[in-house]
Amino acid sequence: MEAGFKGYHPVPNLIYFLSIVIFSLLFKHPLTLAVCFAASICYYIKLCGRQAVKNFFCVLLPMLVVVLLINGIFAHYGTTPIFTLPSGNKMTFEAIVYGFVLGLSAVTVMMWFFCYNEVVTADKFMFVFGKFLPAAALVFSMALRFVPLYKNRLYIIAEAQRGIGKDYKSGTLLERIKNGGKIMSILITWSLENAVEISDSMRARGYGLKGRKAYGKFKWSGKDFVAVFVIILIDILLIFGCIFKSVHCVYNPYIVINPKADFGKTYFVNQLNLTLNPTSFFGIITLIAFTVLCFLPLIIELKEDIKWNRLKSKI
Amino acid sequence: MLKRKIFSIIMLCVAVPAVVFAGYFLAKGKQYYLVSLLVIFLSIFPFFYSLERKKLQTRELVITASVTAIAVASRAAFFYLPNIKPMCAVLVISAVVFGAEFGFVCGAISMLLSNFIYGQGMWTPFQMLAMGLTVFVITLIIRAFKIKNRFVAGIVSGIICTLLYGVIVDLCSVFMMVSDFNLKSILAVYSSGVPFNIMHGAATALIVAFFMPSITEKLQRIKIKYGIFNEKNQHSS
Repeated sequence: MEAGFKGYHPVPNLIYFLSIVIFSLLFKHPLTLAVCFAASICYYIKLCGRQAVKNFFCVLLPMLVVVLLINGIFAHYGTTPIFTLPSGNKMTFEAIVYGFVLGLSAVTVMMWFFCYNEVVTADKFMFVFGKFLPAAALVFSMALRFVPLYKNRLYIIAEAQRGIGKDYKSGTLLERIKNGGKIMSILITWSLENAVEISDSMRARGYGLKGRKAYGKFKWSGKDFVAVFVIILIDILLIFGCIFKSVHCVYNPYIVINPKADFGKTYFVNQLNLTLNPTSFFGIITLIAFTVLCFLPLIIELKEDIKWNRLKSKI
Repeated sequence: MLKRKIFSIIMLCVAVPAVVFAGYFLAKGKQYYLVSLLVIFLSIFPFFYSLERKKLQTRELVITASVTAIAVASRAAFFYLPNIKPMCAVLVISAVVFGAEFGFVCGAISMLLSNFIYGQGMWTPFQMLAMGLTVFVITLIIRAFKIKNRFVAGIVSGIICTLLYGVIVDLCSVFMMVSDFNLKSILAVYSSGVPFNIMHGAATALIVAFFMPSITEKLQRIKIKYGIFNEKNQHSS
């Protein structure tokens, strides 16, 4: 039994990642971006530890810089030039800010996917999609087992080929491709013949007969129901937030944060053509809901950690 | 059979443009990535739906899984040549024997599978569609023109692999990275992927040209011996 959000049923896991990825792509408000980024990096570090920090600095940070540069250099929109490039293109404040926003949301989504890879393993994925697409799921799960098997066979074939002088490690490029292809061809002969045997054995054991069910490892429990309920409730709130544009920002032709409101105070920064409108009541609710959604797996992990420590201290 | 085809055609001709237009007007052209994801799911779905409806024999299902796994594992055969990815070539050779739809399904599943090994990301749906479509198109061309010469087949698959696969997969980075869609910024993203795409296409061309006859013979033997993927008696299980 896995702990934390990993130990939940595949359905809440998949619904969670689907909604978090969609909403982190939909919302481009600075506050939602900051919250989502913080939550994703915390959860990623919680799941992967040191590897996460290394990945962040070596892969994700350079990506952010590249996105920022592409948008800063090549984008033509915006009204506030900061300086002119040697090519004559004006680098605008809006393009740089929007480049940063795009880069940050790309990095955040990448981190959610890294977390997804840790939480939703292939068997969980299979469990959910096997219900809708049984044939495709069967193909997928068999192939999943065949890959390591065939890799092992490839190694055996390659060593045997090396024994008769067809070394796959040396020689010119063309020779190596030829040897590699030879190994592949032998694997195909071996495996397809074998696959037919496997299918005959499946038929003999009654595959495809009526009334047979697939074995499922995962059991639906109360906490899964609560999780699905909470996620869907937040999703509905956020969809309303999207429709009514309660946390909406405009980055082109000049930056306006939050929609225009009749209340509160509106700030202008004249040099940068920046407008800061007050957040509406529904906007605040949307922000809170989004924050809860982002930190949901961390809350679950934290709750279990506290419970575990309390139990430990009792002993 | 006919119903299935009509369903697929309706799906592709009506639903896809509808989603594109709806996405364009609802999001005012801002959510390129999400709209493209929907389009991809709609275009992959008919193929998987037909896989479910066809009532394939058990043998055909296991052969599909086996070819998919060979395509993924075949990378290990070229372990000492890390730039050569034979997946597309293996799929093309087997799809020419077993059918274009088979090629699409195998391509999409093998991309999904290899991403479970190397890590999922926002590129997964794009890669699934790209690999499936590339294999599908190459197979259709080779079958339609009855290309028997292995070098011609190699060149055709190399060119289509470079162009189609590269364009669709790099579209993902364009949608994620570019905000102002002018020619320069799109070219900047695409040009960074050009060396990889050319390598991929060249490897596909080389492997298809070298191994098409020998592997085709083996697959053909299996196909005739066990009577699988025979387009005429699809429903007699």
